[in-house]
Amino acid sequence: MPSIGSKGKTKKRSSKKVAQAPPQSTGDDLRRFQWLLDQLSPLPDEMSSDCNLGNQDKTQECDDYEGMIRQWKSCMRWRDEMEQVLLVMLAVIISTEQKGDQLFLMLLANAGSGKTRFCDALLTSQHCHALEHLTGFHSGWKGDDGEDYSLIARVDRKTMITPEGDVLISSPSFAQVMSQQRRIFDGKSGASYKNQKEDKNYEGLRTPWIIAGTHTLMDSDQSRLGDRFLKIHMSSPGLDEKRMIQERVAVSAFESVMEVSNAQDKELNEGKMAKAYQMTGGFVNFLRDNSQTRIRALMSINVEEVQELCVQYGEFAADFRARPNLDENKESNDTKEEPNRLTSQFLRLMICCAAVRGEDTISDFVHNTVRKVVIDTSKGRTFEMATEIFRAGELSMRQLYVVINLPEARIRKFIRFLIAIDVVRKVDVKMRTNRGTSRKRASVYRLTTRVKKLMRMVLNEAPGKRAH
Amino acid sequence: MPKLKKKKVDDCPDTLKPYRFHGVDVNWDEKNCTTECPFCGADKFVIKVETGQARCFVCNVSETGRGLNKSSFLRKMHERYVALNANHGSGEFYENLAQDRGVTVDTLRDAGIMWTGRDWAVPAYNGDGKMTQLYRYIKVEKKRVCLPTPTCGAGMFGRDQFDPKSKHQVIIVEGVWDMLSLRETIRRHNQKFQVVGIPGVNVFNNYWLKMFGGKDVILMFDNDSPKEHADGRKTDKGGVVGLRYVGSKLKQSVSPPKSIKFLDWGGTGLGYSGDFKDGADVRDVLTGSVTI
Repeated sequence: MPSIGSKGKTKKRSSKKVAQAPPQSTGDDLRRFQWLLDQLSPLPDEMSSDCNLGNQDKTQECDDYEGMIRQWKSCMRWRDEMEQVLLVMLAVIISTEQKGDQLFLMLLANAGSGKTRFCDALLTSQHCHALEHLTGFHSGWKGDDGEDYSLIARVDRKTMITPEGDVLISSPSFAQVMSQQRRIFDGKSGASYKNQKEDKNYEGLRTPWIIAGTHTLMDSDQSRLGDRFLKIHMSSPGLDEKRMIQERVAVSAFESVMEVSNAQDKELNEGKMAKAYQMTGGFVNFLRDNSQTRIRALMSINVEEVQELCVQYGEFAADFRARPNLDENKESNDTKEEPNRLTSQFLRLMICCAAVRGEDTISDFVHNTVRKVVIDTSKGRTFEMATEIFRAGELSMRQLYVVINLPEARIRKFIRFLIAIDVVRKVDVKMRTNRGTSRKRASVYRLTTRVKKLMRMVLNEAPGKRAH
Repeated sequence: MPKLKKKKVDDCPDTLKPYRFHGVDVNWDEKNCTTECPFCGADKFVIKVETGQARCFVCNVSETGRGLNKSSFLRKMHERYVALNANHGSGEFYENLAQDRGVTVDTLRDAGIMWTGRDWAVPAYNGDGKMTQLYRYIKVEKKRVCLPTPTCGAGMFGRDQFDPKSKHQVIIVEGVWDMLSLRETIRRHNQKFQVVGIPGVNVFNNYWLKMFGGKDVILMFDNDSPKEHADGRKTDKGGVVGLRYVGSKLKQSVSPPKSIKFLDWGGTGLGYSGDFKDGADVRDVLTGSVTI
């Protein structure tokens, strides 16, 4: 094959025929174009069913929320809390393409509680993407076709689901991943590579994320870096309930071991469970296709009431999600996040939960579900201390040492922090001695009026009565 | 200076094939190929056999400041061809091609089709609109074909001028010439359509699917009659196969089009008709080669 030539100049070749001008347009081509348009027909289904993209559809058509729940009830020992968890997960999914702050959710439950089953059921839909063994969202790699192989390009407009979050937090790149997700939450992300001239920037990303795992996930304290995740806990069943669940599991295991597994795809052999998975996947597809319609059905709700409620929820969670910086050498110390993001997320969650259930008002079940998320998102040492003080009315330092399972120095640090963020106040009270003669001063800790009011509203309890 | 082993052309490593395809003289040893730079002419153009990365130690041609890979090499070659054809250069060749293909010279130049000195370079793009393939429109045994640069994957024609945010209907045709012919007609008469061309009816990269999410898509493929076997069986080919293949991919994508229509030749519902010549395409209709 000849080279192009020295110094990159092209070699001139003479043309064999004399050039002629191309045919002038006479409008005839428009008539012909119109003829082409007149020949159009919708593509029939039988002409478009051959090709398999590689993701076999494992879903079954389902547009009925109650029907899906009934199917789950028929194959698992069901509790109301499980329905709340599934509802919140579906609310995250339906919110994927809606504008505004995204919903990132952490589902925390003990091993064997069923959280992985929910995740796997949602992953039967192509609108969900399994995110496991993650090393990062960006890749500088370019394939043979020059396409962008970054994960973030592939998961846009899908809900990311991590069924085993504990594996994620034990990864060495966990900190890097979490720092990237904070920006992704805002719908933007970017990466700069030292071996590329252009930076990669993504905008308009919609990538809600659900991480399921055990309570070990709470050990990864992201509060100081702007935690984007709402949390929901699935508590362990009571002892009797546990025994009944085990009996059911034993029956199911006996039935399973009697049959040969289908090794091609790791499918469950229990027909009811498989159907529950398929219906859940199908319901996810239905929600994604009809999200606008379902959400707009709630336009007639009492918006001010919902907004006021979510403002208080946001303030509540912002107070209790805050954590002190335990490293005394660090400069940043007593700060808490602004409640704006949380307010936005709670309102979004409430609307989306109602939309999932197909309601046109916010029902009590949805209210209780969102309240549960508020409480679960707030859980931690800060919340534990404040709750003890709330229920007791007031507590002295000695009493705190007894009720809180922490070293004394840590408790003192937490109390100082709670005072700094206006959750707790220190009050000197006068006490009568047993003899009733001399007075003694003691310091106790009470919640501020603002926080007490919030706790009463969120916990739905009356505060404890003070001893003095 | 190490002695270069001259190997047979058949043994050319895959990493060197894109360079060889575009006229770079490739003689290589175990690690490197050192040859004449196609951009400055100096004998200091080094291509690493293992990775396919190239660098000229004289002109340092690059997009990133660190040499070239096969994709950036294609883009730089295209830039060079654009410069060579600037100021209406190679006018005679353009006029001949325009006459032959039934389009105007402006349409050819606007599409980035460049005379290289011996044949035509036709750019194609990935799903994001970046040029990642440079076809050569050359004569092979009495007919002209568009050959792809080896190992560079398939590219879509017209993607550089496709607006993903536009609400216009999108027409997908087969090949660059149908695409140009249709685009010229659409622009001439201000019709509200966009048009892109796929390199073959069996070629549709999954990464292209996102371009068509939520849009009204029209598939205009060739009128290819089925192949008839001796035993009377008929096997679909060409355009009909393309309708099935592309249609099913579009329908099954995570973001499917709002609607999919197809060019139903003769209204038979089969995607072809015996009323028109076998292999008739959109360009044949627009240029009058097919009687309608």
